[in-house]
Amino acid sequence: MRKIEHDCTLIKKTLLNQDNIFLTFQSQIISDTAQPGQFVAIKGPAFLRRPFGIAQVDRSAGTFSLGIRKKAAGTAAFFDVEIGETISVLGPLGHGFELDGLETLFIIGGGTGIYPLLFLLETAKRKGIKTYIATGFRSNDDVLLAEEMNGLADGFCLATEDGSSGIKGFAQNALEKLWSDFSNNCGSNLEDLKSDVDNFVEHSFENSKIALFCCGPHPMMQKAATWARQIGIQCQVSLEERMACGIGICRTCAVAVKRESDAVKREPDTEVIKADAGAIKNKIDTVEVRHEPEFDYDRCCVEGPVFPAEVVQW
Amino acid sequence: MVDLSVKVAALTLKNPIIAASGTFGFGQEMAEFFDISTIGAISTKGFTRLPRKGNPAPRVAECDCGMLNAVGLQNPGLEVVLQQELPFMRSANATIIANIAGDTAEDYIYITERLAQEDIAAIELNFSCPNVKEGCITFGSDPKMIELLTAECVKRSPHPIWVKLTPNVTSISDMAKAAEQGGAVAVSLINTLLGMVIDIETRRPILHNNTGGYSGPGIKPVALRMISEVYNSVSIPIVGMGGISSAEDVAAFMIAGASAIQIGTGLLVEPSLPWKILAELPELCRKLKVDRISELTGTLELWT
Repeated sequence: MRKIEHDCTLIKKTLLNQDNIFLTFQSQIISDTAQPGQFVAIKGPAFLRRPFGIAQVDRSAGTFSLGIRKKAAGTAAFFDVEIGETISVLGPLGHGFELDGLETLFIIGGGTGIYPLLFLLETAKRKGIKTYIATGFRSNDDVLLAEEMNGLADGFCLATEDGSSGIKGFAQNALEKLWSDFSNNCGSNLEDLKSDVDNFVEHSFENSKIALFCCGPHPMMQKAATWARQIGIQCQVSLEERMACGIGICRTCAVAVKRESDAVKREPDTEVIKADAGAIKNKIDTVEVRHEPEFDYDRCCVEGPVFPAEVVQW
Repeated sequence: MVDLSVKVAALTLKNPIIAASGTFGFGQEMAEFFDISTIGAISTKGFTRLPRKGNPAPRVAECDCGMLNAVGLQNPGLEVVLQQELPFMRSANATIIANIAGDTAEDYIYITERLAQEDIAAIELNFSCPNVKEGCITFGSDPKMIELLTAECVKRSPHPIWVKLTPNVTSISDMAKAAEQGGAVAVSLINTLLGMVIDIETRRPILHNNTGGYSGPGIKPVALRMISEVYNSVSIPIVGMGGISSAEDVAAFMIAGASAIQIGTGLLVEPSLPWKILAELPELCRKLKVDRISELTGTLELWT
């Protein structure tokens, strides 16, 4: 049986800006087994754990790191954890990014979605995959991990909404700029890199040498996913949903997905209950037939948080 | 040597700890991390005749001392439960309590009949899910319906029938009495308390379902009060639950009148909780000077 709850000691704490902190914890098992896109759920004073994408691992040191933005009391409490203190960590959890077979990887991120992309970038680099990363922030004061990303990626483009750093615009503008530079240099080979996007629905990424991976605000990812489909490259998105357990048992973190539907229809009651249920039956005449949605719900914590963009019911 | 075994009517459990319905799935996920055969029993995720997809997200909202959920009984349906989930639970040597729900009386009866040949310890009739529009709680807040429907299921089943009660009623004792009248061998209580959490900036409820069931340590005093009340109203055993998160909580619930208890929301936060509590029970029994944990049941002395 696999151990899932770990007491991890905080060994390093770096304040990135007023609202963002980078925490490094000791855990050989998490650093050894974590894959990019996976997350951990950590316990603070709030009732529920808080999930965070794993931002970095150092297997030789046996550590992993998380980037946390102060949103409300639940996340703010993690800013007060002192070095040497131990907290309860569940993980690594979920289904991460699938990198197999890739030669070229485009990445788009924004806000706190940037954190897990650092781990992704380091892993892709180690696997010899060419990486191009586009990031977007509101303004220069909000920019996170730009130096680290720039150092690791083969191509890097930063956008800020007010133009105070990088190009003026959104992450999507930065992505399209990276793509246009790439495709200009790539020439006629570009078509060979692409494959049939409809194959991506069932996680079948074979023969897909180029991809776009996304982590950030929902509208940003939706836009990027639409763009990827138009361009004709596979796209994986890392989603976020309110969750309780993180291990697939409570079914609260529902993500609407387009899957082969089980066609849930109310079949006629062929095995009608005999006469003695009559007394009850009369009372329930008013019950209406329930309408099930067309799509299904997957668990963000198990089947996700990373999904093929093609299956997401945006 | 402290004896942790308990009896719920004729059924003997190796210890009083049961995983509560909806917080343990069908055991598959938990079996990856823990030996699911060592706790007293597992109440399955509530299942229905046909698969149910559940409610749109958000389905969970944190609140003081607990959380609200509005999952909406997402489950794979009876056929999948029979073909995959129950066989898995048996292969893991889990003691199975089948928690069943329906839109209609026929649904409950049909599922009960289909479970007749299954190797399960009991059926728990879920008359108390607050998150679906039809059936369930509609039945659970009408004593006449509870009695009739319980009787129909009892008549058709070789298995012990438990009835899980909602606290969202004027008198839970009346509901317990109705279950007893209908032939239930036990009642389990309490299900979640219907509640709401509001985002003041968007001025909307957090839950897409608007309302959801409140569970966690915050509901513990309500649960204890209701168990004590029901204990004094019926003669069938009680399976108690509502915010249990320590061995001491288990003792309090048993003293209030529970023969066995269920752990739910606590284990969503700390998956090892049932086993942690299990390990602490013998020492607590020694401290409370009982050789058998079952001696605690109903020993509450109310002030007069």
